[in-house]
Amino acid sequence: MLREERYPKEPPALPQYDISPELKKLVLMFMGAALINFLIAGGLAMGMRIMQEDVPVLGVNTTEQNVLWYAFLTAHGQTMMFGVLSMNTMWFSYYATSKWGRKPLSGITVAKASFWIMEAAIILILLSTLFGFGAGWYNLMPLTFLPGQPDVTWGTGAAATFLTADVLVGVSLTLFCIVIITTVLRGKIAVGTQRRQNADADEVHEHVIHLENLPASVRWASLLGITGWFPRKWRLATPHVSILVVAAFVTAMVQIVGNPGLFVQLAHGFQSIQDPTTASNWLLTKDAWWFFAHPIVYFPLLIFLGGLYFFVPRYGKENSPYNKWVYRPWPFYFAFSVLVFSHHVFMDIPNPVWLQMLSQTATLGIVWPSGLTIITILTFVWRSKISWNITSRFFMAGLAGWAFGGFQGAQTGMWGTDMYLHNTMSIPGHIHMILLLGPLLFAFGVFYAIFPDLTKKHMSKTLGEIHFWMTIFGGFGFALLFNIIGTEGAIRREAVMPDAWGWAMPWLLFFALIVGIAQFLFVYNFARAAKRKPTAEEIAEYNSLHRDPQSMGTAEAA
Amino acid sequence: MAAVNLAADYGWGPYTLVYIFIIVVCVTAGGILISMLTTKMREQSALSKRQYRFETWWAIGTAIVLVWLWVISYNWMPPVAFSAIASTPESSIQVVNVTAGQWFWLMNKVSQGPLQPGNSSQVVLTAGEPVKFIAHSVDVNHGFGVFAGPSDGAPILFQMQVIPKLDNVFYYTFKQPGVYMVRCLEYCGYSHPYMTSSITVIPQVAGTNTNTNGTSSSKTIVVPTSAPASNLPSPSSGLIFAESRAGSHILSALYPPALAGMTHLPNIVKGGLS
Repeated sequence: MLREERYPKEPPALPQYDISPELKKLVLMFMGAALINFLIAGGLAMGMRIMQEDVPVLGVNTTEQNVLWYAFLTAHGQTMMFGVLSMNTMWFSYYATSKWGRKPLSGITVAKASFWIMEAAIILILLSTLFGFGAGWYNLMPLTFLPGQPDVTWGTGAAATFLTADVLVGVSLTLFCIVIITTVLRGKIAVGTQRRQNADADEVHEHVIHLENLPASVRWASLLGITGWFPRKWRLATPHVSILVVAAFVTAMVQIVGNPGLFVQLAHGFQSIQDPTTASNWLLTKDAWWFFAHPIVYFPLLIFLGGLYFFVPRYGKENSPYNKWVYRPWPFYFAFSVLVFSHHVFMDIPNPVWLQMLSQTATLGIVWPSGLTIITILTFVWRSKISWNITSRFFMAGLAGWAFGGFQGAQTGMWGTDMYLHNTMSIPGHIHMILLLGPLLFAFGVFYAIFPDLTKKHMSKTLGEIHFWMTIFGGFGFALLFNIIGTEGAIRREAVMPDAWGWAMPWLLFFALIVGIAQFLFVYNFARAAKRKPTAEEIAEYNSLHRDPQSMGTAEAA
Repeated sequence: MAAVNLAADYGWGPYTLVYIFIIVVCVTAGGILISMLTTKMREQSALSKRQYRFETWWAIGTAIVLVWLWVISYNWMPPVAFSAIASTPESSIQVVNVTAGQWFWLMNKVSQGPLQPGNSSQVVLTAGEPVKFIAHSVDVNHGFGVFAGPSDGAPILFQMQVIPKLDNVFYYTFKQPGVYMVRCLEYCGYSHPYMTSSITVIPQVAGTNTNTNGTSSSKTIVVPTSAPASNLPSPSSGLIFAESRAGSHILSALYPPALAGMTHLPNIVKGGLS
C-alpha cells in the first residue's frame, strides 16, 4: 500500500496567488497530453533500439525495416521536441506568468487554442509516420520530396501531411508567444522592490511585492533582466519582476523571433512539392530551419532555468530573489539564443564566412550566461542548507545533465572541433543530455512541486523516488554512451549500426528500457493521484496556503 | 609544400575530445556531489557583498577562457585553414570532383578528364600534396566524410555537407599513405548507412604518375561500359544532374542495369558492383 506523503521538508507557502480554475484545467490538459506524447515518443525510441539489435520486425525485409526505422526516428524527434518538451514549456510558462505575475492570462481562449493546435500537429506527425515519412526531425529538404523510391518509402501525401503538421506547430508556438508577451506587457504586474534593513548588511533588503503599472522602459529593462546590470543605486531603486516571469518573457521573445524561420522553410517546402529540384535554394531552406530550430532547442530550457532560480533558493531557505546574478544572464540568453543557430550549419561550406564567424562567436557567447547560471545555482546550494526532496533532486540532476550537455554544445560550437563531432552519435548524446536530462528533469521537478496547487493532492513520494533514480540511471547511461561512441567516430542516424559499435547496442537498449519503465511508473502515479479524492489533510493544507489570495506581503512567491 | 591543418593536426583529435569530456564530466559531477554533501546554512544576515565576489571572478574567468577558445579556434575556420594553400601553384593541387547521389559516391581527378566507362569511381591521391575536393549532389543533402582508416572504427579526418545545386569545396592534405574510408555523414534516405566509398593515398615518389584512378578497392564501383560516354558525369560541370527531378532515377536510366540496382538494393550497394 503506497502512502500519500508530503514531500519531506517541503517549505510552506508556495501558492499565494490562486490561478484561475480554467488555467488549472488547461495546465493539467497540457501535462496529460505531454505525458501521453512522451510515452509514444519513448515507445518509438524503444522500437529504434530494438531494430538496431537486428531483431526482425514483423517479418519485414531489411529495406522495409530501414524505412520504418527512419520513420520512427522522425516521429520520435518531432514528438519529443514539440509534443513533450515544447508542451512542458507552454504549461509551465502559462502557470508561472499568471501565478508570479499575479494576474490572469491575456487570452485564455488563445492559450487553449495553442494546446489543441499543437496536439493536432502531433497527431498529424504520427499519421505521417504511418505513411512511412522519415525525412528526419529537422525535415531536411529536399529529402522530404526525394525519398529515393516513393513506392518503397513515402509519397507526396505523407510529405504534405508532415509539412501541414509543422505549420500547425508554428501557429501554436506563435499563439503561445503572443499570450505570454501580451500578458506581461499589458496592465499591472507584480514587482518587488527592496528596502535596506540595516546599514551593516550591504546586500540584505526587505523585499516588498506589489502590483504596479510600470513605465515601458522600466518594464522592458526588468523583463529582459537588464536591470541586473544597472549600477547598484539604480538597481535597488528599480522594481523587479519575478525571475519566473522574466524567464517566460525571454522564452516567448526568443521563439517569436525564431518562428519566421520555420515558416520560410515551410513556404519553400510547399513551393517545391511539385518540382523539388528546380524551385528552391536548399541552403537557404536549411539555414531558415535552424534559425527556428535552435531557438526551439532553448524553448524547452529557458523557463525551467527560471524555475531553477526560483525553486533552488527556496529549498535552500535562502531569501534572495533579487540577487543581481539571477538576472544578469537573461539579456545574453535573449541575444544569443537566436544568433547561435548557425553552428548547426558549420559544415555547410558555401555559407558566408561572416555567418560562420557569427555562429562561433554566438555559441561561445551563450556559454557565458549558461556558466553564470550554473555557478549561481551551485553557490546557492553551497551557501544554504538545501532540503533534498524530489523537486530539488530533479533540479540538481537536471543542472548536471544540462551542464554536461552544454559543454558538448561548446565543443560543437567551434568549427575546428565540430569537424569531428558533427553528425556523429555525440550529437544525440549532447541533445539527450541537454534536453532529456536538462529541461525534462526540471519539468518533472516542477510537476511534483505544483501538482498539489493544481489538484489539492500530493503524488506518491515512494513512486516519485523510484521514478527519479531510474530516470537518472537510465538517462545518463544512454546519453553518456551516445557521447562515448560518437566521440570515437560512430555516425548518427544509422538504421544499421556498423559492427564496430555493435557492442554498445544492447547497453543502449538496457538503459532505454530503464528510462521507459520509470515513465510508466510516473504516469501511473500521476493518474492515480488525479483520480482519487483529496484527503482532509490535503484540503486543509491547500486552504491554509490560499487563505489570502491577494496577499502580497512576502517575497516567497516572487 | 603547404598543408591544410585542421584541429586534429594541432593535437585536438577525437580521442583528445574524449579525454576532455571525461575529465569535465568527472570534475563537474564531483563538484556537484561535494556541494551536495557539504551544504550548510548561513544566516541571511551573513550574506554580504563580499560573498558574491565569487560570481564576479567566475564571470570574468569564463569570459577570458571563452575569448581564448575563440582565438585559438580561429585558425580552424574554413577560410583561414584553407588559406595555407592559397599561395600554392594550381598545378600542385590535386583537384577531385565528387558526385554524391542516393546512394553512391563518384570521384574523379580533374587532371584525368571526365569519368569514362570502365573507370573506377574512386581516386588515388598522393600524400603530402594538397587536395581540393569539389562536391556536388545530384539529389538531396549528403555529408562527405573521410575517415582515417579503411573501415568503421577509424576517427573522422574531415567532413563537409554536400548541398544540392552548390559547389561544396574542401581542401585537405593527406599526411599518410593508406586507404581512407568515405562515408555519408548526412541522413539521405533509407539506404544512407550503405553509402560508402574509399580514397587511396600513395606515398609521394618522384616520377610517379598520380593522375590515374585506382581500381583495387573491394568496394569499387565501375561505371558500366554500356553507358554512353557523353552522358557520364562531367568534372567541369558537376551540376550535370542537379536539374533533374531525382538524380538517382536519371542515373538508373543512364547506367542500366547496374546502377539502377545499386540505388534501390542496399545489399548490392554494400557489396559493390565491380
